[in-house]
Amino acid sequence: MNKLSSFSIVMCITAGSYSSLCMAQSTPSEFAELSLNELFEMDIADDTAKAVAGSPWTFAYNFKFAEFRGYLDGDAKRADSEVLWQGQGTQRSDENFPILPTVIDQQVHVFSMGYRINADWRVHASIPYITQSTDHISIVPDYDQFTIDSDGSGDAVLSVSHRLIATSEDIWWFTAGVSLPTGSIDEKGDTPRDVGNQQLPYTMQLGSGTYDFPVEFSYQSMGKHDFSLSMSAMIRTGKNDRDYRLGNSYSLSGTYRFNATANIKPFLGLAYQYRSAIHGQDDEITLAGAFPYPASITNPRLYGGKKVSAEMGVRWKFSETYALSVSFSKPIYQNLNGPQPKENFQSGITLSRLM
Amino acid sequence: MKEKVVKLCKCIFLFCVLFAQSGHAEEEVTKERKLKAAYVLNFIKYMSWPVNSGAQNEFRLCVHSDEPFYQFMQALVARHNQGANKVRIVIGHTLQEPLCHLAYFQSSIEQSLGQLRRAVVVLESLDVKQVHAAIRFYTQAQKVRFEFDIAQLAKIDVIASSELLKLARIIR
Repeated sequence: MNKLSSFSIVMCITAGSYSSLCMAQSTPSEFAELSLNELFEMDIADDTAKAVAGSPWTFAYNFKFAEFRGYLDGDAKRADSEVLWQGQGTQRSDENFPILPTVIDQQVHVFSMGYRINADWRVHASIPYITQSTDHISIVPDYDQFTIDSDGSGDAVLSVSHRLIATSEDIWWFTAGVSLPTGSIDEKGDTPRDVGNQQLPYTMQLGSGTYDFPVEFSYQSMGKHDFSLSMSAMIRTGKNDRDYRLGNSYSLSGTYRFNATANIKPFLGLAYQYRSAIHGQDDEITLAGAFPYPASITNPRLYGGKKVSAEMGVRWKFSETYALSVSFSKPIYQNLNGPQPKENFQSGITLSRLM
Repeated sequence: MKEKVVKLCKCIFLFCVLFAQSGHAEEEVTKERKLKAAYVLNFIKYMSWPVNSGAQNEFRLCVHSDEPFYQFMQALVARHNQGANKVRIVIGHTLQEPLCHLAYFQSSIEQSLGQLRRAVVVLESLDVKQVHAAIRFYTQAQKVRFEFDIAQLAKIDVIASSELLKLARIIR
């Protein structure tokens, strides 16, 4: 989730910066709202608008929090008690495990910046800092309840955006980039698998370990209704040093912004995302025997699936050059390769400096 | 891990320096020209076009200018269209549009254009020479001012409101 999120955040900031450049909340909009008499009084040398004339740089900080709780197999709920193997005397299968993650919390701080080369070309760079923890229950003695944490920088993303079409009705952008394997895939912690620290499962790693390629087509309506649509993908390549590759992800999303006031825009969004399972396997987190996976999150096949999420939020431009955006999203449908922990909700806050 | 972060920081820095140097800064539109663009929007609000011109349904604004000004005008129009304004404006390049209700010229076009037949022609400055010009911008005491050719407006049946005319220098 980390890398797609950070890429999406950069894209949102790009779209947000551009939309503010072109629409309600920046230099053009200030001039668009000037009355005849105000115009008549304005001095061409009194360049009060100079400060907002448009720095080519954008900076943004995004904080995102996600919680995963409960299990789905396909779109059917599975109780924790069904997924936790109860030990000797009960049947062990591929769908129950002696260790069960109950709650996964993930906090991502994304620092990003963009540079406008000209009206048609922009470049962006972002790096996430990830803090995550997973609460577990298990049937292993002394590990009946335990928590594993990991934190550190994730995968950095460099990308270039090109404006394909720009009319008074709409704007189309194409963005392509590369995600660098800067996040660790060697995070360790104390698990019931052995004494001391061991390699942690995929969910607790901070990066993908592979060079990945995010791409996005986005559409911004410039008509009476302020909405945007985007199609994006994260294409992953090769295999990392631990002989696996995270699944590709593809998403379609749309956001509609309401004109509450000149500076405050509530928005509603809907997103569909498909993610494939992990390819390959990290053998260090498996066990010998008929049932090699001590927890569902150690089985690479139990990753990925489909998800439809609804989002709501508000964007507030509180100064000439800064905007604050707050959002909350919740899946309304999930069909996962399970049993797999399901996403409960995501929320985010973004502070951005506009172009 | 520390080495990786240092390496990454170096990459990002190099990346930014390279792009900052290779990419030229976007040409800015001066405040004077931004004010003229904003005036154009107000002209559309404070003038009335004949009912059979179609301007009430979809106002065709044509611009003949450099790209930065065009893009700024385009952004103003987008903002206008998202507001509660009754008239929806469509902006286009003068040479490419089949019909213009108002045409803004930064520089002149010598050839005769059919799309300007019923257009209010607005000139960016007194230095621009264009036939059938009805409005010309000029500067006076560091302020943007404009003059109206009432006879030219009358020829194309366009009426300027009294609020607009009282701010204009009138040419009869």
